[in-house]
Amino acid sequence: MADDTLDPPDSVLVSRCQAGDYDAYDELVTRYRGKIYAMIYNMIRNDADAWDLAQEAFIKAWKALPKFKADSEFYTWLYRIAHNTTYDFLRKKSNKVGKDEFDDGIRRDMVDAPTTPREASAPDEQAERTDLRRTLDAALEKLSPDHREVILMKEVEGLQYNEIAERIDVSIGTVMSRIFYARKKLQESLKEYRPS
Amino acid sequence: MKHSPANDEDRLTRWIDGELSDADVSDLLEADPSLMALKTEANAIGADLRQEFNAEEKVPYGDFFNHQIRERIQEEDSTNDAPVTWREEAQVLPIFTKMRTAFGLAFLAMVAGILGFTMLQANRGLNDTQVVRAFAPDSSVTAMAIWNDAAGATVLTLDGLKPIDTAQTVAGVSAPLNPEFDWQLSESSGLLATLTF
Repeated sequence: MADDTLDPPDSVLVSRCQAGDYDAYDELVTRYRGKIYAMIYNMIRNDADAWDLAQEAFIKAWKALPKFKADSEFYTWLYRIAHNTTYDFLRKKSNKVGKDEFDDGIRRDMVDAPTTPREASAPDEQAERTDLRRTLDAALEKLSPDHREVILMKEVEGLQYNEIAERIDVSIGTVMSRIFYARKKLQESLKEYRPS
Repeated sequence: MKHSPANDEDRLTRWIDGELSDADVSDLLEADPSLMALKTEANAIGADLRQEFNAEEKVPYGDFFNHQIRERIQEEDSTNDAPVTWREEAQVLPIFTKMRTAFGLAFLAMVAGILGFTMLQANRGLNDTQVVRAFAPDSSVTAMAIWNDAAGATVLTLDGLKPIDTAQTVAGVSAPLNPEFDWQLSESSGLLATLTF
């Protein structure tokens, strides 16, 4: 989201925050909580934990604001904090589960964790959509967080390679390699669901 | 063009995303015709992901979400105590997120306050006034705890609860020490509880 399309621009709100204006930060929280919450929720598929982690990310961002130098966009900087917070959570979960493979760090029961009620749709559409969602969740679960994150950023958020690279602070080559691998892995995982 | 696995992956990724034409990767397609199926599958999977996942979600109880962040920041800023760790908050917050009714949240705050009081030292001088921090997750409810010298008691007040019928029996909470307490019902501000230790 370009700074100059917003009113007031992020840069103005950030300056006010750095001068101690918490109301300005409240406005930034309102502006970006939906995106941050969605990113975290898509990664961990549990609404209670996503809520906690999103709050944690915003609290960390507030504390780090004095060091924010505007050499990147505020949302890109915020996203990185949320990304690191999510990864720390996944790492701790992975250690708790005691599995060697990072890919197995998310427990299967989290896939079926109760979610916030969403707008109702026709029962048959709902059943089919739930089936597809479960299938995609299971396939994404087999990816490492690195691969899961980039494929979601590419396909769901529609970001360009350079935008993804900037957000997660890796090279474009790394982004493209991860996308390629994620697609191949998803194709294999979804073979039964989508017989070619 | 120099071929390398990394270079080939770059080209194929761009080709799947429509940035390169079939002609641009004809060498790769000749070597592995199954790549056409990979492109078709990848695009279909992308469409499914866009259908099922959202780039932005409505945060449940958005105002409360913001309020909690503000409260936590102000708490950490105003005290010298070590901030509550994320792990401890994670154990507490999921309980709060499940308590949907205002009364349930306020009741939980009251129980937390009572438990907090039981941790206080038994010998408190009459001049030892201590304000214990009390917190109500529901922003419409104000929790206060004040030692009252005249009464020789710690007074816990919850202001902002919905009024309840004074004829109703309130059950569920009893002071673990010196079970002498008075429940006072206020029609305007809800339930007041006076706990005497």
